[in-house]
Amino acid sequence: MLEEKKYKSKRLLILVGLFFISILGFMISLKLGSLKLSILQIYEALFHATEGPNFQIIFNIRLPRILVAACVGICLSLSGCLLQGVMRNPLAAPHLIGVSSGAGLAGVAILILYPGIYYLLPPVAFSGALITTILVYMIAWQEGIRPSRLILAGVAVSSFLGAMITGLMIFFPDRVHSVIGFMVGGLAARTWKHLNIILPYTLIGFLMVNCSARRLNILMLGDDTANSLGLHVERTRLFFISIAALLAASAVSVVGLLGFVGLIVPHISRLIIGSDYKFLLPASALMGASLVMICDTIARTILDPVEVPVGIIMALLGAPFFLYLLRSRM
Amino acid sequence: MLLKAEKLHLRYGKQAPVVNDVNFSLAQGEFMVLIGPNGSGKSTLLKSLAGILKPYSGAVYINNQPVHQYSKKALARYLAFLPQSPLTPEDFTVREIVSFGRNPHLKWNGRMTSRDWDIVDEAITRTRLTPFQNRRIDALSGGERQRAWLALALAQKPKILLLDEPTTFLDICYQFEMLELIKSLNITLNISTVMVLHDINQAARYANRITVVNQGRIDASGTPENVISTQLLADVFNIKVNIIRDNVHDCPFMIPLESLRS
Repeated sequence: MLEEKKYKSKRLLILVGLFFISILGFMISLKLGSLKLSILQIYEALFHATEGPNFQIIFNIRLPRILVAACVGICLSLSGCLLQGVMRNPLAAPHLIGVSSGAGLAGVAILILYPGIYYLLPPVAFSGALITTILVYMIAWQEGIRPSRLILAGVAVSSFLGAMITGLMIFFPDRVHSVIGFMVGGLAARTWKHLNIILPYTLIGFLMVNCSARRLNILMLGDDTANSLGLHVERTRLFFISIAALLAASAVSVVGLLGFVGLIVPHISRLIIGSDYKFLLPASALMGASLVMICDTIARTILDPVEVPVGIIMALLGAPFFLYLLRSRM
Repeated sequence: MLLKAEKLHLRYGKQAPVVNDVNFSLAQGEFMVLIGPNGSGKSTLLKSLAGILKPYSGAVYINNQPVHQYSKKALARYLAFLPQSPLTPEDFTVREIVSFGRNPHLKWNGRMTSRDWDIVDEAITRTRLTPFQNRRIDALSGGERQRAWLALALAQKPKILLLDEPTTFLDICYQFEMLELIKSLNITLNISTVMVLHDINQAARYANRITVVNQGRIDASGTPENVISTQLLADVFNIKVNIIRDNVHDCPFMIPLESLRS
């Protein structure tokens, strides 16, 4: 009993720690930027001012951008977490079921072929992501879904769509520049209207954290055991894949193809807190939020006044950190 | 009949049928062992009885009601199935794993009541896992781990227990322990049991009834005395045997002599 309690409280402690890290990340992100502001000025701008340059910068530029970053981090890492759970495959990630390539092709098509309606990018990329996921799912379906077939179908469809993306970029070299930011993923100029797009899905994500841990845990015992414990394996899998696709699609439609978060954050969380989904889901959400917020702050301050796309920073920092954990914990 | 199947045809996808026109029945309290050569269809039959594999035609009935009329959870409250090799997740203690057995009894919010935990404790005690209950399941030995899976099934409070080769991969001592344990649950809790075994002598010793599956059909079904014969073992398993009497346990005992496969 003691052992168990100790392990449980250790994991709770890690969750609390991650929570404070994300709060800290939020405050640091609010503080840093090209315009140096004191904490007092930030407080004034947030709670008392209704106009003025400080108010504009804090309330209409930094705050929404940070919140979008946090939501994107939450959505992508929960999406990866759910996918790794239902597919029982450590390489499962949003981009493997076609979300990224679908959103990518749709987004690139808009930016290159119809730049006049660039403002429709989020809904079009969102639809592209979902349509591709449905397509991959239908291709992989054969009296049920075998995870390995789903992943292979996803890889094949993704490389097919990837070829089309590359084709578009080669035929319209003069317009490639506008595409690169979208392909790498970035948060520049993201504001309240983007937050409105992604926030409902983040709330869905929160619901998932609360009510799906038990079913994901049971799925880890294998299809037959899960089945005999009264779980509709096929239905549960479809449900979680749909939610994962929605979460990832909402994120990539707002910030572009940030591929890395959905794959690595669940793994980092797993190494730190173990694979019990009761702890893994909230840990991934907190970790994803902190990681994207902090990396975006680095991205917009490190080469000030030039902005580096957050995707680059994330891969440069996250990959070595992950490798370090992999070597030291496994 | 507690559990029965009528005119069961089973196949995987569009492949050739694995089980053909099988009628099967299990009475309350019975302890049945399925034996048969590799690929005879016994595991497939078991999966279908467990409601996991839908019949191509025919039907499985529990208490004379077709299995597909039970909800998944209602079925899981009635019948527990232990597959040959469940996946062993990391980071879960034995007690946590056993608690998953309460899943079919939980309400939508998934909250475990103190009564649920009492049942988990009881399952752990009955399988003698109390000293291991807070260990991680992936750190247990094969025999202890198999007992943990049995405890998981017990926590479902089933009336019927189906086990697919529960002794495979265990050493002789753990095999014996496992069979004794399952038999004692059958007697004390009156759980009707169907189990696939490869060892014919173990089958003869523990079963009330042996059912012989061969090439997707049931070749024989009855008490060990009636089923285990030199002729049947020659026909079904292609072995020449000598059958003697185990007077201590009052059951037939076969000594394999040679393979008849040519």
